[in-house]
Amino acid sequence: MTEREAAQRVGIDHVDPVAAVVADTDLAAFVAEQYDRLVRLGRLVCRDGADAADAVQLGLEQAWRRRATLRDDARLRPWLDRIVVREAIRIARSRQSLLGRFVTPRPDVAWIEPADQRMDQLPAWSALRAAFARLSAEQRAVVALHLYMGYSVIETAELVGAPIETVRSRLRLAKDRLRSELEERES
Amino acid sequence: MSIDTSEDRFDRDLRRFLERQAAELDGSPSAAEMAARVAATVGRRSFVPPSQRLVWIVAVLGLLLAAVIAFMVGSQENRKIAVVLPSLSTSTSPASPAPSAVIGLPHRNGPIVVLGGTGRVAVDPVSGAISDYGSVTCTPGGSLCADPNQTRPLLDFQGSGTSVSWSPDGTKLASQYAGAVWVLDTLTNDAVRVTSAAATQGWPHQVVTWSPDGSHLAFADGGEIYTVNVDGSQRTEITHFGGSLAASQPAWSPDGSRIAFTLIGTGADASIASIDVDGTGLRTIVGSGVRVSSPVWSPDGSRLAYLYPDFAPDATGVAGSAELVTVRPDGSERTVVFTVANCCINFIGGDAAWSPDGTRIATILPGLDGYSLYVMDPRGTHVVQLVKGVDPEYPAWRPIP
Repeated sequence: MTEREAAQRVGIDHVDPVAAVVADTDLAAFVAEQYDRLVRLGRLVCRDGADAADAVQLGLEQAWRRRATLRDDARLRPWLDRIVVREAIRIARSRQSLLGRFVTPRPDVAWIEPADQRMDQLPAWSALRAAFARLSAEQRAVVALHLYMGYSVIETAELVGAPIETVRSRLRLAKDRLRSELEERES
Repeated sequence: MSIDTSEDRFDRDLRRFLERQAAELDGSPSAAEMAARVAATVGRRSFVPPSQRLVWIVAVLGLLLAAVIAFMVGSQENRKIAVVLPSLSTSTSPASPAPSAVIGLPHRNGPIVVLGGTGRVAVDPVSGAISDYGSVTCTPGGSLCADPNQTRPLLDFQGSGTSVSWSPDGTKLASQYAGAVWVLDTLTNDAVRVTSAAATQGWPHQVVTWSPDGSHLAFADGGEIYTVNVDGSQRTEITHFGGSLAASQPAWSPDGSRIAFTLIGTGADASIASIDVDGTGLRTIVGSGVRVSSPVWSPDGSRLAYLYPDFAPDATGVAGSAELVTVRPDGSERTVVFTVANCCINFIGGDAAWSPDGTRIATILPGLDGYSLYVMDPRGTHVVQLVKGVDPEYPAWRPIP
């Protein structure tokens, strides 16, 4: 139970203005069904929760408009994932540009390396996280779709709109880079 | 976690990493908020992500203008900050809180003192640099020692479940230890025991809070809230629950008129409540079916922050979440500021501290790999994860007058 749900349960009506806006329960149910998976995919690509939410919102809105033709979950899910991952790549790339960083500064979660010597034994986990963040958005997208979402290489290629060999190459380069950075750190 | 980089094992470890990474830091809106966003745009024009709205020509032409506006807005924000520090008044009518007195320049943010793996340390709120918080030493058998046979200063002592709080002038630390309230002068290293007996009960940990003028302290003992002069005189019980409910974690309001606290019920529930310093005007701010905790005031007194633990497993049955929430003192405008999703099956503790200048909130919340210290704007933006891996506890943000 979330804070908002708890507040509603005890009858505090001013707590959740969101509930009043979402009059369409079908829409709310549709979003609830898809949201968690999509926002996780978006976060892996964007490395930012708000950017991921923007990408997901675009996908959900388009899916809702076309829901009559996309009732089959087998079609809906990859279609939705494709919109979200492409938008997430586009947003992530725009964030990396100098102009994008200046014009749309945005909240982000940063991990500051502790300056204390007692904390210098960062676990491999942190090293992998830092290495993953240094991958390009396109590399993170294929890694997320293939290894996290479970799509085949062919399906991943269709989702990101790239040739199969390009996707294979991105996957190999991404894993090689992650592995080499971990091995370099350990050595 | 160790990661096997061999060809056949690396994919497996990478999948584990991706699963955790996808859920690690959730700055995204909830599903309900997303539904509201979609509902607001469906039926009108299509949603255009903010980044798509940037037209190159407008961006280039607006570059200098944006810089000037950002500078002006920043200056304006700084001018809005004012610290309210009136004198403590125990004769204030509950219906008319004491008028605020805005004095001088705002306090600046000093370091955040936390209890870490090797004792209390000072964390720079911007760089994350960690250092010892002071030159406090302890002579065995002396008043600073936690135990006559030990050499650790009492305020460093671990495992006692004690938080520390800075005096308004940033020179003294108050804490509860071994059944008493103590005040440590960090300039002279003098430790003074304020009460002969106190602090036998506090959930999830014991808290001492200063009145805004630094003349009084408030603490919990046996499920009731007490105030006392810093010289130990005039100990006054201001709540009278008589064992039916247990009050703990007091937080003195910046205008000196009220004390907010955690009120624990007989079950697994807790509330955030407040009461006038004269013991009248008890009011529930947040009622809850779970153990909300750790109320802290914003320096201008306009909001309270507290922690909301969600123990219920998520859809995968793995873990719950922990939330930092702010609310107006009358209980309205509850806002979830920050969420660590899929963090924990259960957690007790966590804490929060508002920065002396009011622009940041520090909170300690659990994750899958232990507690972390996060610092963020009061709206939950610009989140920085400062300390991780040593299970930091009890943040106390030092004011620099």
